[in-house]
Amino acid sequence: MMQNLPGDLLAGWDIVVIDDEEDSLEVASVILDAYGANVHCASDGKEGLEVIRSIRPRLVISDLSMPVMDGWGLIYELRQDTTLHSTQIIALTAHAMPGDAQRALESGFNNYLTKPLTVETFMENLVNLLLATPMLADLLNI
Amino acid sequence: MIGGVTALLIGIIGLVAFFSLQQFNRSFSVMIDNTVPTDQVLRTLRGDAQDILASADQLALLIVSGTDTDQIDGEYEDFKNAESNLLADVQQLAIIPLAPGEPASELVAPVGAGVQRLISAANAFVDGFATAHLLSLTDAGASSSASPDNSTAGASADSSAETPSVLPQSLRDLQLNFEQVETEFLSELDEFVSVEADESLQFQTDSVAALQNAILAIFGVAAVSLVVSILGAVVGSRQISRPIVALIEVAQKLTRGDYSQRADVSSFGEFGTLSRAFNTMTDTVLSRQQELSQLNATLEKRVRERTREAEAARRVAEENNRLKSEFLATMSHELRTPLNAIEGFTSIIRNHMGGTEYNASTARYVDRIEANSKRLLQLINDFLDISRIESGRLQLAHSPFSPTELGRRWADLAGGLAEKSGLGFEVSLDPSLPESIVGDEEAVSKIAINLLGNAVKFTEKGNVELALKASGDNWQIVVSDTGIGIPPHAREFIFDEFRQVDQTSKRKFGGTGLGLAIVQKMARAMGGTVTVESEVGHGSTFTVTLPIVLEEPITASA
Repeated sequence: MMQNLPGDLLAGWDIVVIDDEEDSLEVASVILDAYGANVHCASDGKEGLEVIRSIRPRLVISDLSMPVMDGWGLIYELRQDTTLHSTQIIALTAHAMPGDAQRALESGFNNYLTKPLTVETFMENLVNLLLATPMLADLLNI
Repeated sequence: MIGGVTALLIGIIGLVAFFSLQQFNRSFSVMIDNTVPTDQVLRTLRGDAQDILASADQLALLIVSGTDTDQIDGEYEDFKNAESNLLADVQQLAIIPLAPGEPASELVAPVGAGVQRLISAANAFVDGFATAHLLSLTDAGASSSASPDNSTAGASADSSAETPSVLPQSLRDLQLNFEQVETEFLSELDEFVSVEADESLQFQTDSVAALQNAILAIFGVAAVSLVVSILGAVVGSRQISRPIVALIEVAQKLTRGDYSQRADVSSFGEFGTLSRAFNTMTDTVLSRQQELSQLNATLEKRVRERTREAEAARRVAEENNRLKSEFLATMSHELRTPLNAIEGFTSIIRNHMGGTEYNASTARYVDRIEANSKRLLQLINDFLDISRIESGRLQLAHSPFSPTELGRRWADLAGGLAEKSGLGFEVSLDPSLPESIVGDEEAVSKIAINLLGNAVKFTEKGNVELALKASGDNWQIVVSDTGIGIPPHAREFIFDEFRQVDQTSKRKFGGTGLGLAIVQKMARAMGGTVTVESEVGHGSTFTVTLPIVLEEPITASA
């Protein structure tokens, strides 16, 4: 457990994690679960879209390269839906090529995280992103 | 034909001569005797003779007699320059020096009686006129009178000639005398002209008339010859013009690109030769042209082939480049994905998440997993760097950075590593280094950290040193150690990919064998060099020399 973060940091948070890689999906969900979040998983964009529409989570963390519907298709659909405009959507990808981050932000993602993830890097980056968003920062149990 | 042309020429010459003589008959000739000083005559003519001259169509002949030809020439030049208006009327002019006393009339003896009389009148006029003038001068100078015929005396007195301010009585008399002579001359002239005009038959015996007749005869013959020639030409024109027209047509068709055309060579003589030469020329030009178009076609074909080949090669190169980029992106993604799982689960275990049982053994194994996964990640990153440099996709930044500050950061990092390995660490930063250098901070750091990492790795005891130096237009990153050193034979290949000094050191020290290759490739990409000095068992010194690129001075408008 990260020393300065409380175990119930994300208590009461519905978070949807979308990744076609089972291991990646599990790493992310175990970490988020460890901080008290209600984690909902999906293995592609299409499935993720359905989960998001039924759960209406505060936060979505999605991979970009996926079968059926990839992260680019997902963000397009989500940004068309005005009822979901307050949902924070963070891209999580192993794409580390120059320009990927910029492209993700331009496509409508609120932020961008690069794999590989460790508990430390993932949580540090995630908390910083959430703290920078006033209406979500208030909901963190710090 | 030649006869016709000759007749034509003679005819033309005859006509010209005829009309010239007609002209001569209407002209006014002035014959000047040598008994009058030339400059006096000329000066007189300049002023008063104009009226006389105006009565004739033109001044045809000016004969000045005298002993000194050069003097006459010089005076004539003066006269000509001063009297351009008068001379505009002078169509024929001759200066003929005569012996003193020689009568001017003898010179024109062949001319008919009318002309003869005219000359006499002219002589009388000039004599009288010049004498009168001379006398007036003498009067003005000495107030003494001179006889009108004392022209010889005047010759010696001409040097004192000045324009008289007052005309004395004697001069007025002479002026009257002159006017009389002048009137006489003019009437003589009128008579001559009217006689010439009305009674031309009267001059049958005159040489001018005879010459006119001769000329007319020649002209007549010439005219007849011309008519004959023209008739001959008209008759012969068909024979001459037809092949010429045909040849012109052939030439025009050839010009328009009808190369089947050839001149008709059936004509005999010169025209046949011309036609044959024309055809030979056409054949030669045509065969040259065919050779050229063949050569041109071959060249065009080759150019098209080469263009196709180049285009194909370019497409292949582009496709290769695209595949390479795609491969790099895919590999980066594919290698990071499993690493993501390894690192992720390792960190989960270390953080006791997901209900992990954690004890001392678990901790040790997790350490090993983490170390290896970092090594694997390093290998992937190195490999991607090499690929980027080699495929020309390495994009170097051009941002300002402080080399001194960068040096301190490297020193912190390397100092920590050295400390862990029980080594001493020293850093020296040249104060003469520029505050700011433009370049790729990240790439430079990659070089320095690689060299520093190696130095710590290959040194068991002693020191690792980092020095940043300014060296002219360059700056240097110098990394020294007191490590195992590099044997001379290995210095040639240590910068090659996947090469280490030997397999033993590879097993002993680990590493990907890509570090120095990246250092060298990156340094070269930045326009720099890497050199190594080493002594086995005593240590190595790597020197990276990079050009100093300074920031553009900020302009006032920026």
